[in-house]
Amino acid sequence: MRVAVIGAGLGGLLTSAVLLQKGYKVDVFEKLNFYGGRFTSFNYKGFQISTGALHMIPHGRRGPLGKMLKKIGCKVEIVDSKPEGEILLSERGERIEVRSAVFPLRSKMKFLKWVLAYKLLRKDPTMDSYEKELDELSMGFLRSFLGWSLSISPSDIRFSKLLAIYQRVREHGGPGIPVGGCKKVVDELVEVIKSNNGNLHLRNPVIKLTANEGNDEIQKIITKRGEFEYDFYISNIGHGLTGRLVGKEYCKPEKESKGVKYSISVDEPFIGHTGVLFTLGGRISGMNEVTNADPSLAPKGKHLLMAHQPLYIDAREEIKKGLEELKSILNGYKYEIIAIQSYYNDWPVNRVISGLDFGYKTPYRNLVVVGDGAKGDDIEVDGIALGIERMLSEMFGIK
Amino acid sequence: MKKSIVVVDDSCVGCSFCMLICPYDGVNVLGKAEINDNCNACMKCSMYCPNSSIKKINLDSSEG
Repeated sequence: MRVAVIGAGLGGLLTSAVLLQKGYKVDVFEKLNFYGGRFTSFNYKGFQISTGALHMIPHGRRGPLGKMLKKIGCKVEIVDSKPEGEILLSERGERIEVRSAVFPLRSKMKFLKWVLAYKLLRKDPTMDSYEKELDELSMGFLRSFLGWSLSISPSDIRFSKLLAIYQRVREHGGPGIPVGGCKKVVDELVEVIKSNNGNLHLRNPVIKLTANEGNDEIQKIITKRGEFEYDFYISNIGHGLTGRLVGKEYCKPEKESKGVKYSISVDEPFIGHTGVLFTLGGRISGMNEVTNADPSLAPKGKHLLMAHQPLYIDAREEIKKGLEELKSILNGYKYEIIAIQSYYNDWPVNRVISGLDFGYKTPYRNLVVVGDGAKGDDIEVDGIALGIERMLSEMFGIK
Repeated sequence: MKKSIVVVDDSCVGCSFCMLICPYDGVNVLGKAEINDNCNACMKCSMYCPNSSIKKINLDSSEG
């Protein structure tokens, strides 16, 4: 069976690697001059500046992506974050580790009350109506966690989805950093693809997908360099853009999450560990310092600190305010902003806000969507791996 | 006089890939990409731009 994959992002590459290992013939079409999409990096002045992700895997080596990479045989070492997270309490630099014990009992009881209300009464409001019941620390952490991990605010997520994420964190543990950064992960996948005779076509954008008369099956793919027929088509570009390729808006427009990432060079470690530093009460929601796990991600003697800020309105004004905030957070540290990267529209933080995914299916029996646009019940790249796992099991019988 | 200019259209989101891969330090980005005087119009950036936001406009002298 011949399979065409549209887009060489993490989702497209993971799916291709698994299918090739199972004996399928796979061609990957990528419009850009590089593979990895928003999960790779460019070497800029000796810093590995990631294209999207923060060189971090939400559940480290024990999560869905870590396990999938291991199964494929990718040689990626993932350093689990220790501590998993800290909260920056004040401008004086006071911090506490994120542990259940640091949150007031009253707020933990509220959480239990919401769990019961959901389980027994199916009460499932968005988190903005619940967060007011929390103490200042718990509310601040909730906002920072959502901003950091999903680039959203409490009004964007229902309680049941937050509960699912909480349970996943309990099950798989907190984040980890791949040695070599995101690029190492996609480089390994491309090795697998090439060694199994898969074809990766860069700078060959797909222009159109042509359906049959009954409009329930894709017959042909039209790319910049020619027309080809396959048995099965896998899109890594989200439902909205896939719909544009077939010339049919087959689902509601996706609501994407937006954000800004700052890559910062520091001479001395600011965070000093491999976990996340959540920042409270401002625009910046959190930071990590990946060079504590892998010094090769920055030039010798430098550290790479990355900060994330969710975006809701005009990028430029928000970035100016974000930069002011960084100045106060990094007060007393020698630092230099290396890159500022914003993400929205067709190149967002997440193609669909977590919990609003449509699943992998399309109206065409031989066309599915994988990747950020069709995540399973988990966040970021671990959600991508889960979505693919489900699709491969249901459509190809691959367990 | 320059034979061509490089322009960035409104579809730019500011992902900075152009700045990161430019061999001439020819782009600044703050929310949106802006081409600066170092630009050599090599167009390497356009091959990395996810939104196809960067274009070259020829200022050909054939019309006078």
